[in-house]
Amino acid sequence: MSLLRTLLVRGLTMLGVLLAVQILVVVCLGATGYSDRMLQAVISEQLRGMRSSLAQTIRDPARLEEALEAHREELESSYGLDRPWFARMPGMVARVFKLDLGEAHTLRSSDGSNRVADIVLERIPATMLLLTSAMVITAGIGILIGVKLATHPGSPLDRVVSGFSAVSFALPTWWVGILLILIFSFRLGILPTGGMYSVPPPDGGFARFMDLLYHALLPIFTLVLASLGPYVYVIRTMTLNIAQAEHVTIARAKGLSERTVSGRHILRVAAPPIVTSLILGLAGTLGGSILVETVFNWRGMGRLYYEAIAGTPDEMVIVALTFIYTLIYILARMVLEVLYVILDPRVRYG
Amino acid sequence: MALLEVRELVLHYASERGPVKAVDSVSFEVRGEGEALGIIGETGSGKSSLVRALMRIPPGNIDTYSGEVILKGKEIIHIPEEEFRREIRWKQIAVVFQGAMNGFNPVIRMGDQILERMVEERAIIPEKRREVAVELLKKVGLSEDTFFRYPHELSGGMKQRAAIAMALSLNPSLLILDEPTSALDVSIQAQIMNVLKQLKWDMGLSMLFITHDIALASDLCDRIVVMYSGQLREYGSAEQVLLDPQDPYTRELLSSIPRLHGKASPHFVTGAPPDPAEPPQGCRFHPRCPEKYEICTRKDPPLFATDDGHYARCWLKGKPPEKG
Repeated sequence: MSLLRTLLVRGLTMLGVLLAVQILVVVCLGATGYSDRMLQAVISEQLRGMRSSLAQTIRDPARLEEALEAHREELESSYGLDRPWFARMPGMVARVFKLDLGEAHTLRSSDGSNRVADIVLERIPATMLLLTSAMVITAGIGILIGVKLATHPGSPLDRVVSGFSAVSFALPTWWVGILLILIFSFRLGILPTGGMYSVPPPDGGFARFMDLLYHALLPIFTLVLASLGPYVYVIRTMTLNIAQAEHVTIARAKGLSERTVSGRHILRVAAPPIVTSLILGLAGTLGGSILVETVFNWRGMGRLYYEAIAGTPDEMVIVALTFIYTLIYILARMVLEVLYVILDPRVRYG
Repeated sequence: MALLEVRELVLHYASERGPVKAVDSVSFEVRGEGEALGIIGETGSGKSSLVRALMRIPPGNIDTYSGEVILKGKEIIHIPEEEFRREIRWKQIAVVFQGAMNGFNPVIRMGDQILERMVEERAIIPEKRREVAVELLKKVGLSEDTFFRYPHELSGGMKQRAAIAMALSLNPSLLILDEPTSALDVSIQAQIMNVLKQLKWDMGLSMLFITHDIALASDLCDRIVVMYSGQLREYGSAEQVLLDPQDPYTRELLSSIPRLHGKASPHFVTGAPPDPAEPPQGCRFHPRCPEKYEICTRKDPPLFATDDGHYARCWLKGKPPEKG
């Protein structure tokens, strides 16, 4: 019972986080006047198109200006520009919370839909492909190397990897990406500089998939390189800590096989912190993926985020993406909470 | 034939200042059939290293690890590690460690930990597990539901009892107790001692009882070894060592026990235990010894027999060789 309550409290806290993030985004976009400028630009763009079509029917320039002015007011009120941002934007957030992501002002999906949901949905698989493969690879290599290091602390390999993880921790993801493009695409010419498919894309499902993988190699490698270092170090330290615990000595004295000792008495006990750092690392990679997708021209959510902020500004997409990114983070945290309850009996009865 | 015979066991750790002589040529025997041998020593006298040497779980930094340990007539220090693990650990020699507080895996239920080795060996069918575990738990005075508990749900005393139950799971011939009560408060200490006495009297279990508490050792042990700076200091029956100590160190130790009655205030051993990396020249106790004389600073005394089965490492008890 208390277990359910604990999870419920966590869930509510997470909802609070979601709300707080949305409010921050609204304040950032609104208070800086960014939202107003963005909408003005959208309206001017629409009026320009309208002017040329109206000019065909309305000859009198004064009347034309009048009609355009009327249209401008109409558009401004439909976008809510006649009200200040703090009156206009809360409704937007409330709508997003009802999972109604609204309509984009400028951005379109590849089949021309202006519904934000369509625009975002078609981008999710691309991002997930990058993130999940990077995470799986990081976790696999991290656990293998981390555990290996923990069994030989202070060895030359340990020192090299410790140095590497400090470097890896400090490297900006996008910079690594650019460096890798320079090396593998321009110097060696063995991997593409960006994009998701060759032009023209190969025929056949399997060939297309292999082409996708070929294009995904560098971005995935970039993400792995940036997150592996700190992760290996966490695993090494956690495993080492547990390996020196009293109960491990006793497990050895009991005459258990070395496999049981390391699997059941070291790794199993170290699992909660290892899982924690993996999942929080994933949350960190979400941010990194924005820049990596941009650098590699990878048409995922991160690239979309960048487009919506810096390319053709679109606040509906910014708000919707922030909502989705936060949601992914929160889901990861909830998964973590549940995993903790499963992995560590000490958390079960709080 | 003795149950366990230890001959010139040596365990030196490597350090930057040269070998740390944690166990320095120690010999003794446990006779078996319910005999309890007490090993008494201060912090740093090498008691816990002795346990590690006997169980072959020394830390990584070994400098020298040699000597012979003969269990039931079979040498066990030089047999292959895998054979030692399978045949000796827990089956022949089981240990209850000092820190049983943290001695259990925090994420596994007590019952599974107590029976773990049996289960790994497939020495028990799943349906029998509960029954066997409950029997073990009863022996140490724990209730049946301890089987399903996690370590953090038990008190220190309960954990120590469970540690004993775990050690008994394969019916070992020798139980090593490494300061089994030193982390417990006095009333719990008494309960654990009662459990141990029961095992000794009722089951005839032989024990190696390692402690810094002379009173506890006198309560349980038939014979006593006094250790100092990695060496045996005195060795004999409990009566011999406690009532008629032959070594100045043992005498100093005994006079440091506070008495309830009588006016004499407890005396304490002056100075600090020697640095095991650089033990003093000559007799290792001489800097603190009230009875030292000239030769003590020059030559390390051997063990002299002072009585039947009673030995002391002191120049007062034997003749120094003519040429020193």
